Amino acid sequence: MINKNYFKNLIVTIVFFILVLSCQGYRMTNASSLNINTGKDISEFDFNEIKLSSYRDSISKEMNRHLNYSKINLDVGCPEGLLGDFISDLSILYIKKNIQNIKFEPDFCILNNGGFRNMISKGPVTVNDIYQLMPFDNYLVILEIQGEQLSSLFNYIKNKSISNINRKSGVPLSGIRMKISGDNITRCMINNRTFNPLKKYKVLTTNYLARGGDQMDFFKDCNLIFNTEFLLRDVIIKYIEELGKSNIQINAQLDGRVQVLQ
Amino acid sequence: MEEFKYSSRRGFLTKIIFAAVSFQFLNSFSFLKKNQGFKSLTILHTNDMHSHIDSFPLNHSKYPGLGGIRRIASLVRKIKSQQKNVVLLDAGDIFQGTPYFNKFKGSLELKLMSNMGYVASTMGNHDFDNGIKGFNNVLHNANFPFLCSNYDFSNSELKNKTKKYLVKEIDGLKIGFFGLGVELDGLVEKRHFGETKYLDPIKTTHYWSEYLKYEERCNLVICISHLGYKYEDDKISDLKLAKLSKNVDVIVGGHTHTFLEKAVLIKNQENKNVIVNQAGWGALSLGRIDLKFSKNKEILDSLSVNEISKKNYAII
Repeated sequence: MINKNYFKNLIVTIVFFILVLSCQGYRMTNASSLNINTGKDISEFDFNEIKLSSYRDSISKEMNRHLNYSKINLDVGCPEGLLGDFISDLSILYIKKNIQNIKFEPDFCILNNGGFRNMISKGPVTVNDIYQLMPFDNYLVILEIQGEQLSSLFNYIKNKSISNINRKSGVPLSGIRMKISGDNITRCMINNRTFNPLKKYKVLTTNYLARGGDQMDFFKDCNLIFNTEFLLRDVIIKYIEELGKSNIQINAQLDGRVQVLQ
Repeated sequence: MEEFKYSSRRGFLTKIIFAAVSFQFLNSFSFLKKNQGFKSLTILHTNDMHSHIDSFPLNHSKYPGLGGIRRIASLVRKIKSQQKNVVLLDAGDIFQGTPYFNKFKGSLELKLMSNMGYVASTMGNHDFDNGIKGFNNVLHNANFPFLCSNYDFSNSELKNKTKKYLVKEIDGLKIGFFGLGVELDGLVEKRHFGETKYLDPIKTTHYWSEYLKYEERCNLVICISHLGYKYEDDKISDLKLAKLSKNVDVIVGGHTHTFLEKAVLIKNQENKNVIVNQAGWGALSLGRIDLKFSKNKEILDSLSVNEISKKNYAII
């Protein structure tokens, strides 16, 4: 009986021993970190094996094409930014000029700052700069929106305009003028007329936003009445190139289209 | 079960003595091993490179002439020549941002990354920019797996093309990886993500980290995340995930384009430290975390600045 117990204890001990040993795996006991910025002091690897230079050559000719000069830096802003004003204005101008059917002519244009991935810097502007600004292959489309649905669009603008949190704050608008006081919208003009909730409006935007992108849920129930089949990026490129040919440099001014009074 | 019950007090005492003796024996054992028991691992990681293969244009207002995957490649080569064990990871949004993507649809980025020796990546929302089909069309250029643990692609073209997790053994260290993506609804057009099902990132993390730690018995569990570093609201982020996790050791993240000087430590549910890091965007920064492993029972209580990293990386 004693021997049996002894044997049992021995087994328990051995099992215990093995268990403790097996827990002795490697563990993380020490950590250090420092992220490294890829500044000019670091050489640029050539990737000759992959013939990177031939890929580069095939796109660089088009990309380096000079379009125009910008007199100023154009960047996003909240409640209003130079870049948003400039791009939404040129979009609606270009589309009004280039669509054949007047019945689709948009009343206003709404875009999103989150879609602008770079600013337009003062100085020469190339095709590449516009690709940096608008890398997405988004088309300009025209939606029809009921006056009553517009209240959620106005609320969206209000919420995005009252606090400047990040680069996505603020809404690029053309054809809408709005005053926001505290939590209320005190004045709203569309196409220079007071907004009429009984009217239908035509809005120019991108196919991304038309599908409810960037939380623009109010567009999900709207009819897409016309796809311009112009990429927003191409419209920007063509517009500023045409300006350049007429010796007009890129410029913009804030005009208080969205005002927030505290 | 009855068999293992101790019927007498004496038997129990004998067991205690045996246990004590075995402890003593074990201690002397680990004392002998103490000096030889170190292993090291360097984690290098990128995120949101957004097709920035070359440096930013010289007239760029914020980053003129800086960044680019080519510079990351030089750094990785240099560090690999200095360190024994290196893993290179990417936390998504490889695509979209330069004409390279518009023209070559992401194939070039994946070729370069394969050449650089990436171990794994996860999918960011912009990696859906040409749809699931567009991603699948260029995926064969990648010689590393995409870890998408919380996207269910079983009803899409990407079925069985991505992995839920990865286990890699390096120098006797077993390292487990899994990947998390951001909620696509509202960020990506529905037609682009199609039938992809989004699974809860917290539950997914509990499931795979536990699996990797206890089933696969990994020494280290790394989460590659495209959730975002932190948000003002309740949205799930890397910092929040670290707090709610149990078996995750490191989170390398992306999506919010957050620049950090170095990784941070966050206490998890069991009061253990989780390392969280992110490396900006546009290949402007390479995340670096250096880890030491030992069989001693020390716990990770602080994270120091890597002094080696401070040295000049300039490569002539």
